[in-house]
Amino acid sequence: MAGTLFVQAPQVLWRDAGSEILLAPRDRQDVDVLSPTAGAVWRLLGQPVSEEELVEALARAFSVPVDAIRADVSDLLADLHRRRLIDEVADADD
Amino acid sequence: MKWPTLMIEDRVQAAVRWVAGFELPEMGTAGTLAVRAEDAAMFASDVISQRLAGMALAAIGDGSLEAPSVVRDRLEHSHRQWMLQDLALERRLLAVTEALEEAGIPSVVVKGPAVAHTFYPDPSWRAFGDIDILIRGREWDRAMDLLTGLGLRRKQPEPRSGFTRRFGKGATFESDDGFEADVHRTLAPGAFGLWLDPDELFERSVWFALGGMDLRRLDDTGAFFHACLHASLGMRVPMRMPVRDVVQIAAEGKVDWAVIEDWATRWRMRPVFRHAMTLAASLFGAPWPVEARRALVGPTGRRERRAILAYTTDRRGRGGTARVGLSAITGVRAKAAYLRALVLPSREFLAWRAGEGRRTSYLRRWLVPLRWLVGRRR
Repeated sequence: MAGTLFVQAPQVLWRDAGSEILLAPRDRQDVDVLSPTAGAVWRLLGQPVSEEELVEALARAFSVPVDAIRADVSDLLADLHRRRLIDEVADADD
Repeated sequence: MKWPTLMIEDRVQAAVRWVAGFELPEMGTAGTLAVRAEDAAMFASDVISQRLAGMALAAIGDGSLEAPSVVRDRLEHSHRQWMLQDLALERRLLAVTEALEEAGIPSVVVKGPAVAHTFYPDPSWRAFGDIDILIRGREWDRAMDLLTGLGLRRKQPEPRSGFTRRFGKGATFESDDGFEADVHRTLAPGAFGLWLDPDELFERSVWFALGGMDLRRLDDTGAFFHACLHASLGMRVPMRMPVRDVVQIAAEGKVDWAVIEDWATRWRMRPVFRHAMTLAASLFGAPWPVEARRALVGPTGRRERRAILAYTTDRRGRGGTARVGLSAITGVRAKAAYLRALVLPSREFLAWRAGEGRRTSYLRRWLVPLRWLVGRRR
């Protein structure tokens, strides 16, 4: 997905609940719960960001090699996108 | 910060005040705080009852607040429940606002979500227990019908039909699943609500985004005004959060102090501003800027002085707000209608006031003001 940025979907209401992030899309009745690590990804998705930028930011924050988290970040983005919690936007710089 | 010689209640009170002032700019609450193990239970209870768990957890998170793990666990549990509730409330707010807009009835979100999303660093710091919207008086009856059509029911009946539209602050609606919405015609009960002009506040409203939708909120000056009303008139002993709102909005918003000064004079609000800003200064040590203090000085009429005392002293429990409400109504016919509604309310209202299963009678109601008078002479 080169040239693609990801960002929180605007219709998702959310809150920081301490160790978790609670996500409540306005067109659903249930709530998705993100773990602290997934919550860190969610916060970075407040601004449009590429998958590579996410991987690098998380690797720095958690002091781990980028290759150790690349697959997990990719899976999480795919899951968030499938649940319509994030939107894809084109990178204007490409 | 430590208070080694204080009693436990004093230490906990000081610690809760510290949490309530967490990260307020220039409020003298810098530094760190350590909660003692023997204070833990009372501290957690007080923070939770003051709805400050979000702020306390943020302070723990950044290392400013040290607390035993039992405190953190209790705060997290409570905070999670509040946040789940607030998300549910925001979903309902969006649905109600959309339905009103579709019917051509504009509404303004006041307090709760509007303040949390606009003025606080993180909305999770500002928990709320219901939603509040302002409706223009000319659309009041249509809005009531629409909300009823949405399956909501009015929590309390009016003293007489049309009372709220003419004299009241608003109506609380509820649903079977526990959702509550306060629908306001004006922003305060009694005299102050009658003196202010809600249409002027409505005209100044601005937009904020929530859940992909644009909603109206009071502009920063209106939001500050409402926070002062809530801190001064909401509860006789106000919770910490409404007082924090006063300082938070002043710090983060663009409050037009010339407009505040104008409202202080034209809407007789000077005692409201004075009470709220003095309270905020005493609680958080906030020195107000010169422009803000200008709204506090100046003449205050006898009626305004009596009015603020009716809310902030024990006169509140003795019909004080109803009496000063009467003094704020202009015209003999309007005063008569107000008095008639209070003295001869509908049977439905009497039954609600008496409570389930209790006998209703006008005589019982008429004895109430008599007890106020007897109580006052004691």
